[in-house]
Amino acid sequence: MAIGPDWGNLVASGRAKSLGVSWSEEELHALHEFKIPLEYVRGGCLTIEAYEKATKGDVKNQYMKKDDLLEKVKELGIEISEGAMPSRADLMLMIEEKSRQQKVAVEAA
Amino acid sequence: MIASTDFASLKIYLDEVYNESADNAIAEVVGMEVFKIMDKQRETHIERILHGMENIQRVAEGQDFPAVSSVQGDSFTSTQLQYGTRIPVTKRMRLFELYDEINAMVRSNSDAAFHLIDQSYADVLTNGFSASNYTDVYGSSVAATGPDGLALFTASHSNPLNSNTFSNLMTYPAGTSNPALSRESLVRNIQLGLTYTDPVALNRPIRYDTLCVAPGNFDLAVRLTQTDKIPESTENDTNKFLKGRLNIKVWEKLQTRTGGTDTSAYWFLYDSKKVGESLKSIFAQRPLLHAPEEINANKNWEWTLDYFYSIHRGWPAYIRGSTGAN
Repeated sequence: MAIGPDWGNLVASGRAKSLGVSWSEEELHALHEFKIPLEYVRGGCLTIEAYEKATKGDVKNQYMKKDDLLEKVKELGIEISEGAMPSRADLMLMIEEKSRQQKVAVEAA
Repeated sequence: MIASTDFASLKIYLDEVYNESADNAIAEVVGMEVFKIMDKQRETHIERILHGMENIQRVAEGQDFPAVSSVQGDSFTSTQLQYGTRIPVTKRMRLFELYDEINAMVRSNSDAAFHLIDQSYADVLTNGFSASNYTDVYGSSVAATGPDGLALFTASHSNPLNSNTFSNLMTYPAGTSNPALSRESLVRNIQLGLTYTDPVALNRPIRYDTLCVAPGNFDLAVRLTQTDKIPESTENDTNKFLKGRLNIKVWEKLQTRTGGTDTSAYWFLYDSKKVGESLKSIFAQRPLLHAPEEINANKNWEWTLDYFYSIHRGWPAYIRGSTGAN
């Protein structure tokens, strides 16, 4: 039996950074004052400027939730074998690779 | 010579020594006046903190009442931990009838037990400004977070119901946290308590009535809160807002926290009627002296002193804190 708060619940509802890790004062400020989405704050965006920069281009992939990354992979037409469980990092690599291929194709045309 | 036949009388004697020493020590434990002390035999205590639910509504005749749901609260779990020591009455002590030495060992250890408990309570407050684990007075790493996964004193305490937050970190002037103890900062933070709103934005005044300081701030605390006129002012303004409103609690263990950090400038305000909802300590066994059940091969008669307790945290609004750094 874990001692302390219900970390699973807190993380699931975005009220803790991860299991056993609280939001810092700076992160809380970014969440409550700047209203920066928590995935971006988890990724280190603590200012409006950092958030705006992070939402441009492929940079934003690193702040997306795994479900959203999976959705984007499907949108890009990347096929994932049935039963495969790609990690968040794998998904980001797939998206980057596909984006790079698309750019090369556009430039060649 | 204290012989085996004297064991029963020595046991009675040491029980008396212990009880007298414990009585004196308990009287000095300030933390037991701040924390709500409970006795429970359960190893694990789980508590759901319900505060600020939005369920009471106007109902028409015959209409079903809206139901309260416990999912609206955070939970906090604490587990009983055991602490103890052995107090050996050696063959040498018995042979030479060193009652003074035996007496001092029991006295010193029982006194130490209560001071350790008191320091463990004070460390909750002095380590309450960071969510990082800290090393407690027993040398163990312990968590500093409350039911919302944040430090005890935080500017943005959250709740599971909505995105409203509240602060119990002292503020003065607006935007500056952790002010030094001053009349202005006291007035400001008492006012913030009176205008406190719960998660559903209902005003539930918190009447901070106790100023808790380390000995280093005792004199200043008295001068700020017990004079008729505003101290160190050439004006003749009244100090009635503070005088008579605040009791001063001097807690020696706040002066230096475990590890040696000077925390003498830290100060706290709490509502003495409700602070027990924020800070609790649960004893499964209060400190007890046990006589040995058999005499050991090394000829030592080993008394043991042990206790089980946990520190539990609840809704943190009833206490505010400042490091006094600004």
